[in-house]
Amino acid sequence: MANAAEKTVRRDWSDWFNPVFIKEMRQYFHNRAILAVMGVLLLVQLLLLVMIQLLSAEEEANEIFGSGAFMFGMVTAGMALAAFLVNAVGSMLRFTEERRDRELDFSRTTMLSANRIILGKLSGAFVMTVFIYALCLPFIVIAYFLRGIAMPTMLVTVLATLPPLLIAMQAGILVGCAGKRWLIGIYFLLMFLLGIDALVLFGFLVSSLSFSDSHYWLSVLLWYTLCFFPFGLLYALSVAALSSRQANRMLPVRIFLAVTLGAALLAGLAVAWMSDGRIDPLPGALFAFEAGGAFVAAICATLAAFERLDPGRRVRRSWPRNRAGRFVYFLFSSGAWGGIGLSWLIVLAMGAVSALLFVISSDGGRNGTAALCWCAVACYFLFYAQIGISASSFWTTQPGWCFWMFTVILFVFLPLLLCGLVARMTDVSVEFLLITTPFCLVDVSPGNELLMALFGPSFALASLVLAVTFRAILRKRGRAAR
Amino acid sequence: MKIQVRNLVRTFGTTRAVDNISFEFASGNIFGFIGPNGAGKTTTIRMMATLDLPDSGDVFYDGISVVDDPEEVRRVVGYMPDSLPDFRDIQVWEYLDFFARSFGLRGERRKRALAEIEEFTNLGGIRHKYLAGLSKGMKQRVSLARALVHNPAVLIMDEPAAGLDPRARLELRSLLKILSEQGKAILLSSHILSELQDICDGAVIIEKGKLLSAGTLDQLLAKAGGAAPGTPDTPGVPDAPPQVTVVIQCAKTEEARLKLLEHPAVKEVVIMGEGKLKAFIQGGDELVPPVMGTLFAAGLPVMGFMRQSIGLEELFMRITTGEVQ
Repeated sequence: MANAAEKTVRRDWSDWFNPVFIKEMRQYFHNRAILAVMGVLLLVQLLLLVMIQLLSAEEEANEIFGSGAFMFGMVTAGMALAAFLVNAVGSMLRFTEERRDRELDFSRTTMLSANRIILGKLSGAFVMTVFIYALCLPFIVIAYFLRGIAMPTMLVTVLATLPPLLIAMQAGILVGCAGKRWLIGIYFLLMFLLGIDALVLFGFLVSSLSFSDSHYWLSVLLWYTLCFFPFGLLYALSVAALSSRQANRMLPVRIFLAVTLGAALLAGLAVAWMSDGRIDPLPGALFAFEAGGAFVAAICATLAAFERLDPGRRVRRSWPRNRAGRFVYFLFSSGAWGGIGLSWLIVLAMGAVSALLFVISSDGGRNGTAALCWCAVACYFLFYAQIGISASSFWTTQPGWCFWMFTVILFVFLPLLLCGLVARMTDVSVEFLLITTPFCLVDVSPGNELLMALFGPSFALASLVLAVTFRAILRKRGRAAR
Repeated sequence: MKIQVRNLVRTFGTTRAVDNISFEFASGNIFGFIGPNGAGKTTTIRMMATLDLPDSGDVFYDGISVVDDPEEVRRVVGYMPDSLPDFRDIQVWEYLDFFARSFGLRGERRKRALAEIEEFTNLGGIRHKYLAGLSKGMKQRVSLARALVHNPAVLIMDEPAAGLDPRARLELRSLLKILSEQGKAILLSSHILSELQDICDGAVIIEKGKLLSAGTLDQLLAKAGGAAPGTPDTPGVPDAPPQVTVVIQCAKTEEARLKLLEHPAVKEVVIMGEGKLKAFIQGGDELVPPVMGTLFAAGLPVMGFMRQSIGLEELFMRITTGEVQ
């Protein structure tokens, strides 16, 4: 009876929305700082309009400031900055506060899944971005009537500001997932450093729009595709960070990385197809696989160093019974060894592709060597991760990422520092000082390319033997203790 | 609903915060969770409320494990934390509404649940206030309302009465009694033992991460009679027979002491001062008349005697040693 009564309960229109989205929207409009940012944005635009009206009387100034392009540029910049502050920074600060106290953290006390929470946060931030854009719309229309800029360019530019903002929002949500205040500083530092790169790329995009009238949508598509990889990775990482420790939290991340690898292959084919025969489809696709594989294997290995060693009871219980299924599930499931296994599998595939490129390319092995260099880059990341994992399996009091950081400082930063000092003081060739870093593959002496590309795989293999030996010793100890 | 805590272990670095704790309780009971500061109460409670994972062991709610099905456990558990919500940009009703939505309450059902919980916790007057602007007592109410909004079968509360004024404490006590009568299983940690004694049916006493004693109050009081301070219950070993303490007023204390010690049930007699002594009788209440009979038979001037019952505070002091990890 009770169940029947419950089924007949009428739904409210708001029940169709994600609860986190509703909460976020309410909080956005209650937050005085956010309302202040929006107020300032409107005020600045009004002042800008007044300024342009006043300056338009003077002919010389009118050429620079009086055009619609100038006003549109200013409005777009203000709009993007406001959206960044309100949605990326605002949602990061709020989520950090919500997660900081474990006892009040709703992700641990409610039945909402990590994916639903992230989706709710992101959709809230996105709707607010659209709201901010809508606030600026009248000024964009005024800019159009002031002339000096075409409507499609305006539209494409406004659309192009969305992906980097989405990345910034997702990065903010990821920082919020950690619930640590000190990470906020790191976020700002990264936004500053990566923001410059993003602005340069964005500048290229916008300038390409003014050269060509017919490639608007292709440029936007390229831009969106470029932004999709970091955005998707950040989303998957956020879901992983928010999932409970016993959940198979790395599954979405590893699936995303595997899909990216497949997409890289397809992208290589697409580029070869669009090059009107200048690039051969097979080498093009294989080379794209090498480049994509290096990124994927490196990220996969590095994330493995940040994970727990054991996948956990809950994950192990859901493994399939047949051997092939178990193996695939192991590679994609949480647990450091699964990540290392997947990285090695990709690296082995990359090695095979490098060999294939040596055989099929008609450029004297240049493509093959370059592909081997990509493979070596991935191997270096495997090397650092495996050293970190070996150490964390012995000293369990510290998390894996501490050892990984230590390994990177020891094998990357110190050699770079030493190399810099030696290069400044002597004329000695320093490339061999960098053999523990991927930088040894840059600016290699002629004839040394193949040799340099072999250091990475050798280190990765040696560290794997070390890690496996440590694991065997610890297992033996564990059995003896039992 | 039956709540079973099984061999729970949690280690932080080299400190074993919770060391192989096991106990159980059921619906309709209010259990106190007591121990000195740093005993591992909050760590245990957090694991029970799925906020933390045990290194080993498990907690089962009618067989649902906190390790394997934390999401399912959250459906049946309401957790009221020690810390209070302090958000500046959310109002009381929005906060509760969010939690109601998060537990899948929809439409009219959600509105009804929220109205009921606001009435029960007396939040109607402050529903449009921001959380950051509330007093501690009000925040406690909001916290309780949040824990109860999905009508859980189990309520876990960490120091719910801390910082409350006497009126608010009385109100909280009556709310807990009502909830217990509704059939909820309630576990609450508190330092105010005199209050716990009034509302609790049982208690779990821990110290230095180890379980010292667990059971209904009667069982604990009976056990504590023979227990030396800091002696944990040994699983599988029968409990020591209960001990009864009798305070006797008699002018001839030394003669009375010697006479009492002649009785095999009397373990110890302590002279408390001029004309007053305390006898510790090993066994049940039924042994008190024969023991006193020996004094009357000897013609000693017994002016009065009283069976002394120990409270939760004394029980706590007897069982724990006060050491921290």
